[in-house]
Amino acid sequence: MSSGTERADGELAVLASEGDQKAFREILERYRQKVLAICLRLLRDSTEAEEAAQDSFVKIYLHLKDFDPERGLAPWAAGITINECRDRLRKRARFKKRFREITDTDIDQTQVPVDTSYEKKRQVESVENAIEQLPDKLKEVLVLRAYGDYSYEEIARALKIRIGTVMSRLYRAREKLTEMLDRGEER
Amino acid sequence: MSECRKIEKLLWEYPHGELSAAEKETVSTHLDGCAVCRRALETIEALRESSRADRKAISSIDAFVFDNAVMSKIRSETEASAVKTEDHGYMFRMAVSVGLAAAIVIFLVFSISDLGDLTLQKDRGGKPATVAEEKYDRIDIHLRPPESAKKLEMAPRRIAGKEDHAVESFSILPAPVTRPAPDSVNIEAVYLTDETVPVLSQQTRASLSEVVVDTGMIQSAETPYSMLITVEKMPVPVDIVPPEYPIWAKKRGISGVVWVKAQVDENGNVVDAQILSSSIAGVGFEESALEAAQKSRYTPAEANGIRLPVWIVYPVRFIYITSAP
Repeated sequence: MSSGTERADGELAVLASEGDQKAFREILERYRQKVLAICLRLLRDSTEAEEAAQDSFVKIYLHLKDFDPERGLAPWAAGITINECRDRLRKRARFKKRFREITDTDIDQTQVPVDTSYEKKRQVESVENAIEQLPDKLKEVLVLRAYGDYSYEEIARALKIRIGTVMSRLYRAREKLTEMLDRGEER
Repeated sequence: MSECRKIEKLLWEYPHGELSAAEKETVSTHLDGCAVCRRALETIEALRESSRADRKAISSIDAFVFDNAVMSKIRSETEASAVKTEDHGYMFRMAVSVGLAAAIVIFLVFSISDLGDLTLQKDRGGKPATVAEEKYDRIDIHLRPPESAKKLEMAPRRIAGKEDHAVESFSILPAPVTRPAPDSVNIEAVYLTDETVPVLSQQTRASLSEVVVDTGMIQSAETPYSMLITVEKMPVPVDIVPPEYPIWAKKRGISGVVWVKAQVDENGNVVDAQILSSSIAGVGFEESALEAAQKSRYTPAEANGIRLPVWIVYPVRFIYITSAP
């Protein structure tokens, strides 16, 4: 992401925090896809993902005044989105404890394009299932990188961790995925 | 191994990303000799494929709908926080007045049983409360829908100057919806009438087919009426402001019903309005109905010649009708 768009982001944030709806709609336009991508992959339920993404944007709007331009709008928005998803996952876990039988079947498997070959489809499915097995910390970094298309630096700023930590987490996440896929193939 | 770690970062970009020719070369040479990284690349490819699928799923989400949902959530959020600050005072007043009303009931019940002779009291079997119940348990008043309302013809009504555009409006009553040939968009105003209601502005007439008076809610700090009042005259609409058909709902051809609960004060002004239920949320029906409700005026309710504030409940129907011009 070039510094040009970053600056424009900052301006938009200021305008939007002053109540400029147009500016906020511009922010929506820019980050709708990214925010939705994070929610969809972390929550694995398209309806809830959409809701979570909407709520994330509500929070983004309400906290625009606290926005630190140094951090960048994209990473900041990602941070808020991750928090929203964490909250929802926590709630879901609590719910799951009580209603174990419902939730598992309820979570819809994310759509896979029809035109892919069987082999590819199978691989995509197994990688998606493998992501689910990852610990949250690794999963979040991986989702930001692979699905949100965030750079290492942006991920570091979104999660407030060092860039070295991002690198090692991403490496470990990918490594674990490969391991899991290998194990799956052996079976 | 550390070589592989360095390569890993490049792999995320390889072969699509913005790698320099030299970096690409480094990666491909490394891949030739490293099965582990080849496997890593496969995993990354699978992730990319999955991400592409996700993006496809996301692109099916209507951006317009999404953005509007966000904006309406923001609106209700900011409004809610604005209301919260006043709410405490209101709740306190409510608590005080409810408590007061309860005290009056208890007092009355006891004083009635005290005044009654002893035998009578015995006959009641220690249930003096029935006196109060018999007399005052009717707190709902339902006005029958006027006969004339049924006969009323739903002739399309056009607003001057808007002939060639969609006419938007609403109905305040359960109304048979006429559906002419769906050719052009025309949202029709449907007002019903009743003999007692005066003709309103814009040649439209309105009435309340069903008025529920929740006497438990009548009191407020300023007007400490107890729940023992029987309303004799219900508010009659004097000036009903038609809600605006939300642009967004109109665009999509969405119809819906919103039940509004409004408090009409002694002067016939609406001092408070709330949404009881909404058939479809997030398209602006609630806001529109509330805004209109607050601008509407009525004749005040009366009991024993005394004006008093009451709550009225009525449905606002947003009916989207397509019809030939």
